[in-house]
Amino acid sequence: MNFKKVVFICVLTVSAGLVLSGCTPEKAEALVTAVKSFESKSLQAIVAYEKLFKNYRKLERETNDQIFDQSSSAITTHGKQAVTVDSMISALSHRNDIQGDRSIEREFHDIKIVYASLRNTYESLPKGSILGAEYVGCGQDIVAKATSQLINFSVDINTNPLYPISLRQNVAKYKILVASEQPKDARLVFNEISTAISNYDEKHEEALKLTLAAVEDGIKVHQLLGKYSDVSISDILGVVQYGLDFLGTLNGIDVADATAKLTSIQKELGSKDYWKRIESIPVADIGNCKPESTDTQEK
Amino acid sequence: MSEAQDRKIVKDAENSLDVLFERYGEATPADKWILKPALVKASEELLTARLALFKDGVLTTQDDINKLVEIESEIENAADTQALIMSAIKLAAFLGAFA
Repeated sequence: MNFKKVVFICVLTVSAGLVLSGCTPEKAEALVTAVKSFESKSLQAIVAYEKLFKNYRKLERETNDQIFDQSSSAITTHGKQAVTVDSMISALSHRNDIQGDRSIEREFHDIKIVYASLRNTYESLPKGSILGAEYVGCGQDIVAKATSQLINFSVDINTNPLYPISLRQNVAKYKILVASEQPKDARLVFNEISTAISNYDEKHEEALKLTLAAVEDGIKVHQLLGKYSDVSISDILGVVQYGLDFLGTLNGIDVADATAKLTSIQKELGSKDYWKRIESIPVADIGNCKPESTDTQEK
Repeated sequence: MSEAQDRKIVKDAENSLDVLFERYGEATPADKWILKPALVKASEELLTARLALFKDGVLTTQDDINKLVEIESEIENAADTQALIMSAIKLAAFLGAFA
């Protein structure tokens, strides 16, 4: 048997295997498109939450005049030891803001690990390899984990919204100004409070809507993966299209409906053993494809 | 401890911070200066607790709830700036433990 013949037979065998296993390169490509679409929507939602946290931690900065007044009064009242180089740096430096943002970014980097696992799992699929198809079950668990994570984020933030801590400072300031009969200043602070609340509400609602879009996609991709060998390319592309259409209607979605839907999805999934098991797996471990990941429990 | 109680911890901690901000606003400039580091620390640790709740769900115990009630009461009844600083530091340490 010459070399060309051997190659031909090998290609024929692999192709037949792929078709029989329901995993053609084109179908795999379509699946990767669906997964990437889910990933992109999820990351948009996660970035929206990251912004909420960054705004949450920011405190109102005092003016240099106020800091001078406080530090000089502290020396006069409490002695020279009341002011140190470190306390002066803390009061005047902007570096703390940057460091605080970096620490939030690190936390969100951990949250995004699940998507790196998802990418690793599907890297080999477009090549149409049978090995890649074996990872479909594992990918299904990762999509489930990412979806469940997003649902929990939305419910958490909705239960305890992340109105910025600076808002708390301003409400305290407003109360003191009203009590000390300074109506003009009180009105100015009141306006700041009102603007800060509106700004937050807008960002909060956007995060919830983006989450709903990603969760809807996640559930559909999860179902696709569960019956991967039976679905057609057009079924997969239909899911991608549905996701795009849904994203287009996002502005028109009522936030109360989005919230109610996310809460009801959380309840529904929380009652199933499969989703409970997924919930209990740490994000860092979800990418390890263990045999039980491809179980046939109710999903 | 249920998720609802975990969230109650955060809500109560936020309320304690509100009281601290009010006391800060009423303080003299000199007392503001010495109170500020503890207030900033408590705010930072509240963020830590919120992030922990967001990422993993904080598992609180009945002891945690009792401890926070005690700290809340200390903040509300702090007789002077030193007592307020101490209770703000306690709040920060309590919240920081959830990281």
